[in-house]
Amino acid sequence: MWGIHIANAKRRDAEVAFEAQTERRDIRTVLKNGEDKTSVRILKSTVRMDEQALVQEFGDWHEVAQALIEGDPEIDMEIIGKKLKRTHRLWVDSGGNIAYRVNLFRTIYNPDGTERE
Amino acid sequence: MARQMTFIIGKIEYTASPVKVDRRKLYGWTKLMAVDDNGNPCELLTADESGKYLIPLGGTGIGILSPQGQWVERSELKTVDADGEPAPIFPSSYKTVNTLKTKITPQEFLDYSISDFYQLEDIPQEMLRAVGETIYSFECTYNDSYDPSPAFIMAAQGALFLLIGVKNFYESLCFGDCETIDEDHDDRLVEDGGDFLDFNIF
Repeated sequence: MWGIHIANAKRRDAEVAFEAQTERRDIRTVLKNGEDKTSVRILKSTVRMDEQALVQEFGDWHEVAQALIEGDPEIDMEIIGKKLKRTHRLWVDSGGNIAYRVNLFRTIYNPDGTERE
Repeated sequence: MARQMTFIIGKIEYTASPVKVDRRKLYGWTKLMAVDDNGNPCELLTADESGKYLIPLGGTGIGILSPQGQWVERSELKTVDADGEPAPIFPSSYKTVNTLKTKITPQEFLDYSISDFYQLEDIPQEMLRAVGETIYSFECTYNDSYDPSPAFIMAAQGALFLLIGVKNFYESLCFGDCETIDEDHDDRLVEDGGDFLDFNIF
């Protein structure tokens, strides 16, 4: 839900939450035989398989390229394709450690790209 | 050169080139940054159910399975309506002639949330006069689609605009302790504002 601060003409204001319920055409995709399908979320990669992790493991990009030619270091066959059910969002610092408390800052930019005071 | 769309108003045919209006250039944009107590920037990731695996942006995919648990390719699916009958496919609005005959009131227009906003360029003055102060509604789709979106043509400040949106159901507003207000929408945390209009910039 989005939060919005609204007020009427008499300046009586409140913070409310709103969510637009949209109207959708009643169509769906099914299997060729008419059976319903199931959509699942699957794991494709983890942070230990991304570019930064590979460079850390092999030393430099040339070594990474060589490793990719010789094998599949970016794929963990034990976990790729794992079905994901409940996932959690969390903040991680530059060292890959979970940050249990973060401070959020919102910067507003003008159309010309300058920061708004 | 932008792709052209063809419209008919009355019995006269007009062509125009919709050019997307970047709302960032109209209103600006916001960027959200998270830092830890030491001032180091933090990144939003996803953890699996066990918490053992940290998943970066783009690290998940969507798969389709049959009731027997077998993998199904998207090309093996068919689209049906509520009765299970094959759904009609609508041709791209760029390939067909869009007849503008449905007029709506401003009040009806406000029942829609607008998701895309285009200015129609290369329009003849006759088309601008033909639209006048009317808001025309039609169904629009960029590619051939089973689910075209409601779209509107209207004039403002001497130009014509194409607005595409979705219709809303307005049932109730929430007030007080009814649900957690998500101060930051998940998608916007990783895509610098995206195409969402952030009310906080006003």
